[in-house]
Amino acid sequence: MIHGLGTDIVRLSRIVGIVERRGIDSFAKKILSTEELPHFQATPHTKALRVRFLAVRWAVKEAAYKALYPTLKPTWGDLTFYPLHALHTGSKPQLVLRTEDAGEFGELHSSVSHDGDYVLASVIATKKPS
Amino acid sequence: MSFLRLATRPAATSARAFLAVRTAQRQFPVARWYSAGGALNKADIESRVLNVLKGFEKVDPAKLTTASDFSKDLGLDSLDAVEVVMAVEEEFTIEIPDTEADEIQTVQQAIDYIAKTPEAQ
Repeated sequence: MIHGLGTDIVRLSRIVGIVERRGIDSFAKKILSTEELPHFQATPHTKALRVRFLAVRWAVKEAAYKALYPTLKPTWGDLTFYPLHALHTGSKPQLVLRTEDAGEFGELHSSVSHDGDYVLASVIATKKPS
Repeated sequence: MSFLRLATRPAATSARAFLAVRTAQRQFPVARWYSAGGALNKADIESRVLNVLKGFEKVDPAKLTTASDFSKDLGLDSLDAVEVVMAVEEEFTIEIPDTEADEIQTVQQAIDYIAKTPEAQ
């Protein structure tokens, strides 16, 4: 059953701003899970790609927060996003919640879209049948 | 877009200054810090937190008080709030865990968090 729907939009230039002021690695450490961090460090070192990587994680996790609210308030590190092809060739983008309180929740369904300077993410949180 | 009114440079300078002070003080016995019972006084914490907030372009200094709510009073969104937490972490040379950071929604809550954090410099 569906627990909630969440959506989030972020402008890439806002992520550019925060990484310029606070440092890209500090911001990455703040919002990425321990599993995502090595993937981020392995992304090609062009600023545009790294900013987009962070913007996608930001948007998808904010959307997940809204979808799960108020039953569960995940922290940044509780959520890991696997982009297209990350799990195996042809795999859908997938967002995974790993926390002790995740028990009653089932899969998270996520979708991300890009247009120019904007990244949009939607997440549907499901609950396991009781 | 001019988002660089933000006091990046002053913040960085003060962070460096604090690091320098900290390094110098390492030569003193550690006990000095324990006996101080928290090296920072509340007025200092308050003015430093307010200064951090003044560095944000979106923040109208006229609306900024210790009672200000980041979102309702200062017009900050969730991305700004994360940046505020990062700026406070830099200012006081600490790391605020996510679960605690989530609870910091007002200037006063940031001040209280620093006041109860003995590692804050």
